[in-house]
Amino acid sequence: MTQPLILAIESSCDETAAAVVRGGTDVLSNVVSSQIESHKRFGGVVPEVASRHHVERITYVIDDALTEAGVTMDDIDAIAVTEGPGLVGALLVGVSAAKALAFAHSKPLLGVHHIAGHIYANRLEQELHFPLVCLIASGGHTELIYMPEDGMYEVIGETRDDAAGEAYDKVARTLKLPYPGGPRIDQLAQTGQDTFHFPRIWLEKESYDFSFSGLKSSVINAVHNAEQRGEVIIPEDLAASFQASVVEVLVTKAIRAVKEKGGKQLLVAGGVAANRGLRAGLTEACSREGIELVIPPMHLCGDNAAMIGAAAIHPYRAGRQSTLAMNAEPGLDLK
Amino acid sequence: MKIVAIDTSTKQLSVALSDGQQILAEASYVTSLNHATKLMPLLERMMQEVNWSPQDLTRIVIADGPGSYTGLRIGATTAKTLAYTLGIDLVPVSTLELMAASAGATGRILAIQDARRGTGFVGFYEEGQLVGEEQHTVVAEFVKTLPEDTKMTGDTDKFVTELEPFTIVNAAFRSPRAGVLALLGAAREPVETHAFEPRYLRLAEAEAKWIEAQRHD
Ligand SMILES: [Zn+2]
Repeated sequence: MTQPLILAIESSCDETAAAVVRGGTDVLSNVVSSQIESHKRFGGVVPEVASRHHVERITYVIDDALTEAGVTMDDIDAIAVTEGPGLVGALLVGVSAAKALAFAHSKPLLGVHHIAGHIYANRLEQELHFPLVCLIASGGHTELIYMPEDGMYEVIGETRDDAAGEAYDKVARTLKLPYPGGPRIDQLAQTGQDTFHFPRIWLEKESYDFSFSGLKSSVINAVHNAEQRGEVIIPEDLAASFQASVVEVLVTKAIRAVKEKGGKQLLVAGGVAANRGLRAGLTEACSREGIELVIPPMHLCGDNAAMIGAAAIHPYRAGRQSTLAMNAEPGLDLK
Repeated sequence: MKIVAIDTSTKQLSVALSDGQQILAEASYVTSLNHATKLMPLLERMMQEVNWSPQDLTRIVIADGPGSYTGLRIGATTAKTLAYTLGIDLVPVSTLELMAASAGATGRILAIQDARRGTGFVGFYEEGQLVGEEQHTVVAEFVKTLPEDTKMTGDTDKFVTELEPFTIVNAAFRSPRAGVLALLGAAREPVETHAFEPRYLRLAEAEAKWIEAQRHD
């Protein structure tokens, strides 16, 4: 069987991205145009600004992806695009572009779930063995997903309030760190000590769900109390203490899920997978428990289109084509 | 010439096919359709009916705003991606100019789009030529500067008292038509496709506030 060549587009948040992927595993090009510099001044992603940037960048990144891959539209077998979840105005730019390409060249159109993309970013680097458990941690998501087989998803746990990345951003703002705050906290935490002993939020004993808003409030209170007493907070220690709580909960629940579900691997995906504290915590726990840990390389942790091209192999092989009536689905479920 | 003209800048969706001389096919929906889901199926059906394939196209004409931000982006992204991938011309035409031209009247015309709180996007056209600049402004103030023989088109029902002294264009001609758009854009110079952006005529709210804050620093 010849391996299909898929042109993939991703625009769900603040990266405009296009990639060419062969057979769901072989990345021929992976172009990402980041808007991070533009959103810095607002301290977070502003949806209207993000959407405007996507329109400015979209055909450039598509053209770059094709050029870098050394292919033309004639060589492409299908167009894949992130259908959701994400910012609706941002998603619509990618979806509109993908539909125009599919129509212009009479190619199949494939809608891909953003989180499926993050999961399959892992397959760009190594083989996956099912059943497996995947921990998703990003600015918008914190989920535990059980995959009994390739292309099958069962969400077994999710956050009941903030996503892990969101909590990072809020704590960073409390410490007056520049946006994006997550990597800064991770950096500070490297040299700090867990001196604050913030709570670990476990929820019900058997639950795989997460909750980070209580932790976030504890951190903010600690900072305010110190300010009122005129005490100086050591940001490194605060960051290390916060990160220790997040990492312990994520790691413990993920390991328990792998054991209870009989997973052959633990996959990690999403922007927070780039967090060094989390990587270290998972590496240590998995080697102790004899679990195979799969973490994407740094450049595939954030949003990109290669991961969408990787995940698109399932709808492609199953013949699950989308029509030109495809819409952006900001609240799309992973099924 | 085989021209596709697309307008998704207001709540109306309008698509037309033209050979540059005449309108060969035109479809407009003024009910609140979802542009994202309706545009491409409509275009595909119209092309099939006149027996055109995408590879036959020579030019995309797009109403580039002002208008609803989301609508503008759907049209702009679709138009620039088609023009880019087919290697054909992309020609933007102002939505306000299109509204004025669609009114089918000669003389002075003001095209108005409601932008809430008494403001609107306005373009003042005299025999098809823009006078001054298209802008986002307080409609009540702006119309006071206009000659009294100016005809009003667009969202006139949102400004009933403000427009009292003026003649309102008949409702049958108050919506922008992609057929008119195709003919307006048939002979104009194309733009650089990759760099094309819609004309929002207004900054994103967060950006406006940010600029304001810089000024106070
Ligand atoms: Zn993501």
